[in-house]
Amino acid sequence: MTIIIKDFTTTALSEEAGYKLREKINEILSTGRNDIIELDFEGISLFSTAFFNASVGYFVLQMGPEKCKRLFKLINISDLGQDTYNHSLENAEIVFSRNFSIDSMGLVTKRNIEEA
Amino acid sequence: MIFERNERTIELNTEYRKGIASITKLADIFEIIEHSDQKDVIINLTEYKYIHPSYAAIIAAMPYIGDIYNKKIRIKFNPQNDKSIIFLSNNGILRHFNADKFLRKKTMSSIDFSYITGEGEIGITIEKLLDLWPVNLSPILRAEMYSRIYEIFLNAVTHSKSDRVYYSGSPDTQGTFAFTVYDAGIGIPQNVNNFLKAKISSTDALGWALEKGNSTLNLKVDYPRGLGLSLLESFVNANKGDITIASSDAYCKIAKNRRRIESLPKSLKGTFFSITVRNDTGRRYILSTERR
Repeated sequence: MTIIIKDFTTTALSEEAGYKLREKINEILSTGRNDIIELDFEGISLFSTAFFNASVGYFVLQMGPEKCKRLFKLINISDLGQDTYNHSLENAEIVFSRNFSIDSMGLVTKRNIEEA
Repeated sequence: MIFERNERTIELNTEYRKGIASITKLADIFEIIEHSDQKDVIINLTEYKYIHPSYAAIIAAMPYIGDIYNKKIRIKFNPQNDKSIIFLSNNGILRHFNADKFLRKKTMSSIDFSYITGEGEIGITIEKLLDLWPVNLSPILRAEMYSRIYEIFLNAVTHSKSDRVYYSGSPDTQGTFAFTVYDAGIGIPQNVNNFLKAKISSTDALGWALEKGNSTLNLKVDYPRGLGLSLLESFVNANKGDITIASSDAYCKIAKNRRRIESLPKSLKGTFFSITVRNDTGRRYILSTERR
């Protein structure tokens, strides 16, 4: 399955764009399919860690970094984008390794709902 | 000039070279402002000698910061003092405060002092300032610069809890270009201690904030936060530049692949973040990715 990033954002900068990518990924995962998900960055030249943190980073915390590395394949991405992604992934791995648990996430989600 | 009794004058009549001593002097200014009994404070540049361009954003932000202390802060200068006029012109400060009649033609390409008030302004601001960057930027390099500067602004907007994030950029006499982002917000140490529910020292707090995987916004959202700084370090190291961060009474200089964190004798209001890179227009910047 391929997600074409430029279909929903012109840059890979903002957290908001990262949320949109997360939504697309969740749509695929909810079908129960285990195929590799290609993230196609054709036409995208601007990147920030905020975008990758909010999208792929979220799944690293949910599933673990190794599963994510097998699940996601980035294509047509510039060196800048790959570099930014690598930094974000490394950061996410560190957070994951500090026992960022599903319980913690549950608390965050619960708090977010209560505050909404 | 006769000053009214309810005015306090702060003289900026010494040199403010790059480094910890000058940041300490700037921190001292904030302390004087905060504790002054007088409501009117004048930042007096009439005997200006030298201020490093990386500090322009802090100096120019002071009239705005007066609101935090319930003070009215003004900058005073002498139009006959050429050095001060050149400093105020080159950094866009005269223009910003509608003192155009004193403007001198800029002697160098620079980014005028201004501020942003939210994340929505970051993109358009970066577009404008990259157009003014003194080194020719290829499309690939422009994309890297855009992305890295985006991280700087996003960090300031997200963490400062401040209504304005100030910026400016201009060359110095050493063949480098200094770009500064300053906010008068909560400061990194306070942010970190609030998050950790601890009372660690400012230097320890700054060190914590700079480490990969650490962010005061972790656990407040359901994804890992950070880390734009490591990307900036890569870029700066590739281009033989440096990063200076000062927040509260903590100071950090990042250069030549090393980080040095020290205490400041005085506490600076908010967070000062300055990146210095080469300004020789005959060459191009090296992409962080080219180093590998």
